[in-house]
Amino acid sequence: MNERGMRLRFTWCGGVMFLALLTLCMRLVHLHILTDAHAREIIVANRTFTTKLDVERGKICDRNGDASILAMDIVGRDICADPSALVSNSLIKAVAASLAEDLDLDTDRIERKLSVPGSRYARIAMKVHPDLAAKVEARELEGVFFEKTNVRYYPHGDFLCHVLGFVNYNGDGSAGVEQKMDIFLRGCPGILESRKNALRQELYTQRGRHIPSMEGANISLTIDQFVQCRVEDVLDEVVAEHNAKGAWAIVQRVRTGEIVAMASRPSYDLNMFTSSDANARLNRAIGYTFEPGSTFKAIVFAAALEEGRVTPDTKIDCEYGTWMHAGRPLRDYHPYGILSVADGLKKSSNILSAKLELMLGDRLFYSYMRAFGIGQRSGLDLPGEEAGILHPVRKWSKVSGSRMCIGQGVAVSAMQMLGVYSAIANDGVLMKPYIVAEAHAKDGTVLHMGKPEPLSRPVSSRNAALMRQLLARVTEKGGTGRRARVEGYTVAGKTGTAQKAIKGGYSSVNHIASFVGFLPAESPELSIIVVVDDPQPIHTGGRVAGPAFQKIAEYAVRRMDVPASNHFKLAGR
Amino acid sequence: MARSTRNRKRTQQKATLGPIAAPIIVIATMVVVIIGLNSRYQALGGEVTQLEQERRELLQALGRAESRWARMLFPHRIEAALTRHRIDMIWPDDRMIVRLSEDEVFGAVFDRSLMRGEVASLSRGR
Repeated sequence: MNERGMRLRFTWCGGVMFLALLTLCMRLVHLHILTDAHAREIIVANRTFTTKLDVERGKICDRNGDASILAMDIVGRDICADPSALVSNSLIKAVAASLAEDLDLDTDRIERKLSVPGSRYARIAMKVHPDLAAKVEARELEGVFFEKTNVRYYPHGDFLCHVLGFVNYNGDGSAGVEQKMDIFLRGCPGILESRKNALRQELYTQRGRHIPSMEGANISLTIDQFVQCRVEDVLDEVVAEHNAKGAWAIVQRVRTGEIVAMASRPSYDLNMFTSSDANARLNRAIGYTFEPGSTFKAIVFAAALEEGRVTPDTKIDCEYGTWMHAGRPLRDYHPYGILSVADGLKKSSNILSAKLELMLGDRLFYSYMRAFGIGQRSGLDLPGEEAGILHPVRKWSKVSGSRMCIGQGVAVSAMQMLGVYSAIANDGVLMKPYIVAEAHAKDGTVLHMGKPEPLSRPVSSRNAALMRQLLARVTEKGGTGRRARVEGYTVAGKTGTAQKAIKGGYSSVNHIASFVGFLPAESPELSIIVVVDDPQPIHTGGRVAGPAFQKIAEYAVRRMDVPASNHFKLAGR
Repeated sequence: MARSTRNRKRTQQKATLGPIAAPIIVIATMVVVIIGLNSRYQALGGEVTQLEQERRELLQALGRAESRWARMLFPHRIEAALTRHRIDMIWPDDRMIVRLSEDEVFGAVFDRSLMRGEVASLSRGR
């Protein structure tokens, strides 16, 4: 080929390339400048997205802080499937069986969800734990895919379930601390407005609005997970040993009102709250009221001492077991003749207690009950607290006072009953109980702080000390609560065996057994209540709840480093 | 004659190319700089997005580690581990516990700091 021919070819090639480039340029100009506004809007809209940024809900920890997490958010998976793909490949049965086995779901239900030929999306399970999702993922099931989602996770299953509560599928706290502290825990989701490329990847340079999420605050509780664990173990033992319907217990610091442990049986797994029944979800420690029985007598004794009607040595006739008052008989479990007030409390005499109430009068007794917090919510920072039942004096019959003072015709929660004994232990000052120690943001800012708060002073410091001495005799030899004794510590407390109220009277076979007390009696640090619902066949508070109290107290004093009683004796306190 | 004509033509070409080429070169340089900066900007954007993703993944890993740690610290697990290693833990007898009040502790710190001061003054003297 000669030089001229070559030049001609180059010219042609150059021309074609130039034309191609020109066409491309024109197309670009057309797309970017000449496209009409509507089409451009569609293009921009397709590439633009606004998404709500996930926010991490705050953690809940015990009193030891971040080292002991009780509730936290983790990234889990929603397990989804493409029904049309499964229908066309006739894989529904195999996939449903496999998913049902892994996720512990009903096969038929999954099959029904997947048998929708026209659909491309079916959600099989929501908020699945990442470990379980990984197990399903490893099976590489055709037509099954996964979507990331935040999952509320409780590392210890049913541990502290009634206090922690749970979060529903919409992310709202629906029980316990999760509900009460929702405003702090939930945080605020962020917003991202940006554009994506053809590969659906975000174009950072096109990012319009980016408001980062404000993560939820962490909550520290006043609970000690070691004491809590002990309490739960003891309650499980009690329920099993005494064939009880349920049991509940609270441990409180008397000086501050802090709740150190709170447990209720039956319990439920927080990670599977949907499969639990309402009965298991009830926090009986605050949400169940019962007639307390003899534990209630402490109020009338404290009131009679405070009003100066009696002294511990005042002798009262206990009528040898049966006393007719207002035409109705009142009986003692064991018949007694003349008893001192101190012995009346130790032996738990109904007749002596009723006579103390008569000395006080209904109005005065009522005012003491109110001052001790009976018939009103304690103000504990948990939802679902019951106020109990305490009728006003105008609705009382002639025998009401003599029955109420022995814990009949009045309904209380365990929290209220513990409050009475904590007040006696705390020099007569009733403290507001609290379970949330602190809510702090991620940057350390304290948003909420639980503080000791006195509510009332039903009895003076002197009479509170006197009551402590009288209650300490209950666990001595000859007292009803000797099984609650803790080696090295003087325990003050009271047993309670209440017949359960049934239609038209009281059951002779169904009881509520309880023990409430504090230790060490010389300088109280911890108060504890144990309530057992319908223990069979042994049903007395001293034999059922007393040993449980002892097991909890024995551990709690060591864990909370409460000095033994001889420490005070040696120190001359 | 022919040479002088050729020289004149070259001079004329230079004179006409100069004013056209200069702005083209300036514009081309600016375009190159803008394209360079833009691509650098895009690359940084990509890097930021990638780091954001990495941060998310690290936070997820942290969450998983924290949940494992929380499970490990659970009292029952600790008890099981102790049993497995045949370790029998007992609480010390109350007589074996020495409790120091806040004053005693601060007093001890104060004394120690005094002692340190003495040692320091001795060493300075040396």
